[in-house]
Amino acid sequence: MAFEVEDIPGDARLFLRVHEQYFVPSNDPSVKRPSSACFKKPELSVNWAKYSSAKETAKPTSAAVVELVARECKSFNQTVIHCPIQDGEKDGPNQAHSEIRGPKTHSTCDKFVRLSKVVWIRNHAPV
Amino acid sequence: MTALRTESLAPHNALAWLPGGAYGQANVGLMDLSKSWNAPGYWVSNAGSYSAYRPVASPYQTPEPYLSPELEARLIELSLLKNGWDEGESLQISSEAVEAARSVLRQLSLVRPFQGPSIVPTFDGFLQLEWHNTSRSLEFEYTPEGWSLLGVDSVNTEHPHDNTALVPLRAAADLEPFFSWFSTPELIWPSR
Repeated sequence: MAFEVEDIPGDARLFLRVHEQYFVPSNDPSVKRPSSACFKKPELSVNWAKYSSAKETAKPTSAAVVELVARECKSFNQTVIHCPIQDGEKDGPNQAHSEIRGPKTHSTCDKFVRLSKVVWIRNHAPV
Repeated sequence: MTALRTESLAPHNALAWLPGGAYGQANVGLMDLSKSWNAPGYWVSNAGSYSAYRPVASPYQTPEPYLSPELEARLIELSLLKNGWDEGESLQISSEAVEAARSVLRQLSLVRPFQGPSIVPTFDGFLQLEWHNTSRSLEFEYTPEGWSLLGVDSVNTEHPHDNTALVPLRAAADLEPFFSWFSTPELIWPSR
């Protein structure tokens, strides 16, 4: 049965995987954070927490998974679209798949960093 | 125990290569070397021991732009990424971007204190240099139009202030004031 496309509410939590190339030291060198470059894609793939977990979002090359809130993404000119991947499609099936769409300037990407919360780190317990 | 000689403590009358290793456990002196790595005349810290060495420049010589082996290795690593390196539609990093980054880093190595950046790829085949400290962040993103600069002053954590600039790719020296802004809290964002 095909997944239906749903409206994503403002309080929805979205998980974004952070590739190991994008996980950099923060102002505290012992603590890492996602680089703003992690948020640069105009169509940013995320998983909706309604149908996925942070751990399920991670791939073998992921260093971490961060959480975003849909309402906050929309506050800087982004739209959040549920676009589930059906069985048989590339990277499918994934009912949680969604996208944060919109132009992402350098400043916008930095705002994403500030709004994101690291919720899973490879080889660590969930934080 | 031999005291650690930082650039500012070193005798400026000779070009000397000082062996690493022998000065482990030395005192840090005038600067926090754990945060000021990879610059000419600086000791490189490795988990608290000083295991590498840098030339100490003579005052009779013009300082030479310098790229540390660590940063060079990182640039080579990025240049070897293939299309799809993020398991998506990402592009391999352009040789122009890598060469531009190399040029900028060599130029910035002349600014004291120099701190090596994190260098990250971007999905569209370019790269970004970034530095973060407790009060400020600075990012240089390579774009075909020029270096896209973002400086964030986060002293006021409730309302961080963003500063932006676009610097031509061939004007690497113009990036120095922005790097100084990052490392000197008293400075305001340079105007262009």
